[in-house]
Amino acid sequence: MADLFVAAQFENLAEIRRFVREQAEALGADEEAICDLELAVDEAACNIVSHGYEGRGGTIEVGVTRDEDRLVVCLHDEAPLFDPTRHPAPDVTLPLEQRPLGGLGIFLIRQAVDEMRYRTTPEGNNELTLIKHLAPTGVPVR
Amino acid sequence: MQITTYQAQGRVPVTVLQPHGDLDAHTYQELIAAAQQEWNGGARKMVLDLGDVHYLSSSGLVAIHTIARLLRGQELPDLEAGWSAIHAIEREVHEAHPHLKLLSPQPPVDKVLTLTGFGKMFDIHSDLEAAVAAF
Repeated sequence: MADLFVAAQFENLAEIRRFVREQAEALGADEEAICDLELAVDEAACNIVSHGYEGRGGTIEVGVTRDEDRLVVCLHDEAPLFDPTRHPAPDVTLPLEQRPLGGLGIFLIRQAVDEMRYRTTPEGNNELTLIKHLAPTGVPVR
Repeated sequence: MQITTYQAQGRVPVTVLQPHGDLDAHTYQELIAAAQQEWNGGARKMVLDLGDVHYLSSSGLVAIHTIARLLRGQELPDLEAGWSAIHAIEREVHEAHPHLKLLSPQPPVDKVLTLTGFGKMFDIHSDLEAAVAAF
């Protein structure tokens, strides 16, 4: 399946979301899962643009695959190393007032997908993997 | 992003802001600018019609928060503040915001509002007349 390469700019977030939607639809995801993936990938890419490259420019690579009942989105970038999974997960049982400060975007990623994994690639770049479990009733892969 | 603005009259004059498209990190400042322009022109009560917004990210939440502060005549927040912006509005608001109502959020947008607690900070209406009459 083809990957998307785009310049790390806010104006390309819509293109990233469009790509994720198209790929996820083709892989049999339901509408709710697609919306959740769009949100998670958009927030992750937004963080790469604003906090990773800090406006200096660079590229973001996005790939979408399906592994049985899981949709897997991989984001690669060459910004300075940053592991968003180490950002503390907010305790959502606490009132908003008492939740630890942190990125709204990372909070939304955690809400939208089932797993978020990070690794530094052998080339020394960032690789963020977002995994969404699909409902068993999802259309099977042809 | 195209943003339609028009006036509605309830017990008080109400300005309706209707953004068309996605509210993300690329577009959210345009909504803030449109609200600021209306504020400068005298608008003090606003309805944000989200019926034609099919995607809302954390940046869109920051726009809503910023408009909420604008309508309270308060200093605008740091647009990078994230949760701290939401903490601030939580501290300020013990009931639904008196000057800003939300209209017709679509399911994916409504989900983000609910996940982040915004749904409790604003009256959300599905009907324009009801939203205007709520002021």
